[in-house]
Amino acid sequence: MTKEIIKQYIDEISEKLKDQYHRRLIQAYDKEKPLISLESELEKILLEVMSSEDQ
Amino acid sequence: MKINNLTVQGFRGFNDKKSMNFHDKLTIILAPNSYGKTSISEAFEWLLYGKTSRVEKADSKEEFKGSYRNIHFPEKSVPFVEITFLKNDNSEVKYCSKLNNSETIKRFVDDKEVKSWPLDYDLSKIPKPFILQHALKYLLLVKPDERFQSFALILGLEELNLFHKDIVSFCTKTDTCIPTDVKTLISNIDNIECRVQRVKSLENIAKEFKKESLNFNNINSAIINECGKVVGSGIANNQIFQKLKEIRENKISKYFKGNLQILEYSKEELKENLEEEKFFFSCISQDTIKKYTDLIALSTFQFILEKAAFFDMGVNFLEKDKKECPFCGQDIDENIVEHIKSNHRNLLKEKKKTEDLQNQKNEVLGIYEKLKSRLNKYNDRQIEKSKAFLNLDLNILEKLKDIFYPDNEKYYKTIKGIYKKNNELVKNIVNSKGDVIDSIETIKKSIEESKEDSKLIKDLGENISAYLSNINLYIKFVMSKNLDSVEADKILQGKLDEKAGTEDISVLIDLVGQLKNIKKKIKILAILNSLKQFRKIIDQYVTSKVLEIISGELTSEVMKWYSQIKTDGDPDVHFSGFDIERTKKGELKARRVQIKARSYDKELVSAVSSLSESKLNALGLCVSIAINFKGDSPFDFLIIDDPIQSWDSEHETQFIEIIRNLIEKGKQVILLSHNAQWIGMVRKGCRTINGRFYEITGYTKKGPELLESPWISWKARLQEVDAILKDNRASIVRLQQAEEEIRLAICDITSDIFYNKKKIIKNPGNFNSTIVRKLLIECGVNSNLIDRIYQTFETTDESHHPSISYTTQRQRIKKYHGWCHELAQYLEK
Repeated sequence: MTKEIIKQYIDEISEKLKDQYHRRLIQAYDKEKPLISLESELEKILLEVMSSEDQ
Repeated sequence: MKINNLTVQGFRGFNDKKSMNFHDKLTIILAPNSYGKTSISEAFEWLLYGKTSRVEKADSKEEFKGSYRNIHFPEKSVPFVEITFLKNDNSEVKYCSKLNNSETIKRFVDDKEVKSWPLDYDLSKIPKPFILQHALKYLLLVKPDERFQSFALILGLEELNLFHKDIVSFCTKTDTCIPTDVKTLISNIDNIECRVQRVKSLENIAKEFKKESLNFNNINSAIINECGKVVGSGIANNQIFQKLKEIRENKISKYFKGNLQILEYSKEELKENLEEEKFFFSCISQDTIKKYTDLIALSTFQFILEKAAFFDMGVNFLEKDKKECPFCGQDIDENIVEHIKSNHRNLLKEKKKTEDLQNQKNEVLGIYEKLKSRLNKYNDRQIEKSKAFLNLDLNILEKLKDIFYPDNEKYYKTIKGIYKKNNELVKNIVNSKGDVIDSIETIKKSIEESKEDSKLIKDLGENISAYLSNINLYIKFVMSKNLDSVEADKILQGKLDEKAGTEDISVLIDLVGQLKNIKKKIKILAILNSLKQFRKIIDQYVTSKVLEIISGELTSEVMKWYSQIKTDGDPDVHFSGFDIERTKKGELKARRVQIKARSYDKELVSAVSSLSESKLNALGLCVSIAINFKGDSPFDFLIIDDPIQSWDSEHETQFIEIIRNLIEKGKQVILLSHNAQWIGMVRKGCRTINGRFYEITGYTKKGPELLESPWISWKARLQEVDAILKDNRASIVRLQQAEEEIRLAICDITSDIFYNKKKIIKNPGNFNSTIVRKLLIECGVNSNLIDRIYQTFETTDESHHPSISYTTQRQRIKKYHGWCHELAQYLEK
């Protein structure tokens, strides 16, 4: 029940987010490990920027 | 579910076991302060939730450790709280919680142990059926964030609240999740930016870097423009970097050429070194030694090769003439022919072996050739690291001294130290490498001359070990001096730029070389900065969700109750609804629930700052009540502990109406208070409910002394009837009330008569006509009177409610009133 409620919030918020990175962050949110999931996704995004500009 | 009975022992203020029965509509408990009244509401709370709100909200839980257990209760006994609930289907269920020594709780339902209460609800998500003294404090008079959390909890938005807190926490502290590589990149670009700021001729670039919103294209254009001024027009963008370096090198070369950096080893290079060293040692492995020493046999096989060639020829001649020996010409027979052929075959086998060995010889030679080649390359790679220092000599060092001194003497000393040590280590490497090469050549020669000697491989092994030992020392030196040398080189380059006037070119070289990283940094910062917007959107979302509920449904519900407390004489300063605070731009402020108030049509700053304490209390009560009617709950009861704090008498009276409304809406109300006068008013105002009334008359080590008293004294009831009868304009409802009062008085009087006669307490609340009749007979009351008394019950049901078709009559009531007084005379006998 809780997971469904959280998913509903995430979906509603996703619709309001225009930035692709913001959408990724909110979709990555995991109630069981909230901070870790968000920090991990941000880290991924930053490392992608580091490597993508080399191409 | 409603509450039928509470039994407590050893819990909080209760030492001895005490039991209380509850009325299905209204039970009042009156007790002076400190008589254990709150222990009763805490008993309910603790049973249902395993803890009390006072402990839950305490700043220091340590202070409350062991506080559930009554201090006088025997150590070996087990404190418990037991409640018998009445379910909707009128069946009973008994919940019991026992407190173990370790402060853990064992739960039982109808005497069977359970892990949790068998309710189809998550108790943490439904409103608690308690309105406690400190409830207001935790709801209204707290910091904005705590208030928001409390409201979220009671509105069933706890998940949303926690989700929001997670996002806020994340957005506030993103530093911890920035990878080291990213931090290093940002730091490096920051350093370059600082240098840009210091060079006046590059102010156009500096301006671009200073802008709040960095634009890479603008920065890039500014850099290219400045580069163009230095390198001239006509230079393609991809050649600018090289051209800048040339120009700078040209200008500084009169002072110094090159740099002073010892290059660091990358992880890949160190790994490659290990692979090479593995190969080196494989060249002196047992396997290789065997292949080498096998070659000794080659010298003895040379003769065999020649002999085999000789016999090849002989066998060929034999094919032509089998009767004549090909070697001496004599006649031969078949046996000798066979002998010759047999020798030939054996020789061919031996020849094959020799050829294999020959291949092996080439292989071994190849190994040592490869060893030499790879050793040279390996060696060059290592020495390359300190090439800058190998190019120095004493003359150049003197020049460097002039450049570094006097301000940077320590860097010069560092350079000199590195130079000396580097020379020493490289010399050792060169010498030991020479020994290895010599060994390799000796081994190769021994193979060529077929003078193989295993000792030579041993020597090679020792020389390789010595060489690699020198290499290891060198590598450690390089790794320890890399940073020092880089730092010293930085100072040197800066000094050279000063002398040659090439500071701007130096900065441009770094900028052009780092363009890709500048772009990355800008993008990374944009992402990190955008998290403010990310948080804002979520703030607005969460706040809107809360606003939707509190400004609509909740405000309306609370208003309904609040308006019942208002009196005509109240100044027009009142609660006017819930909202979310807004910024000057009208945007919602996150997590700031506002409690509004108005004064004569003007909006006040807030209710908390403007309303009196009594009004705030009333508001807190109304919020708690409204919440309790919101949504589903298994509980049909409400426990209200000391609700009227700082209220005047008019508002106290208004609250009695609230109690009646709660009961009318189906709630079982359990009301606790220390205010005897007010409780008297409640009983009077709720007279017809005829609930249960307890007084705590004392408190000892054994706990509170509970006494159940009549709801209203029969005398008071009859006085009320009297007043109604004297009122000629009394309505039918009032007359019906009078009749009901008579019946209730009769039950009370009967109970008292029975007690006087038999010293047995009977609860008049359970009496019906049959029971009254029976008890009066047992007490020897006149049978005629008993019949008349019985008659008063004829028009009511078991709960004393009159039938629908019944019409009350003043004359009949007068009669009943008289009979009642007649029965009361038995109390004086």
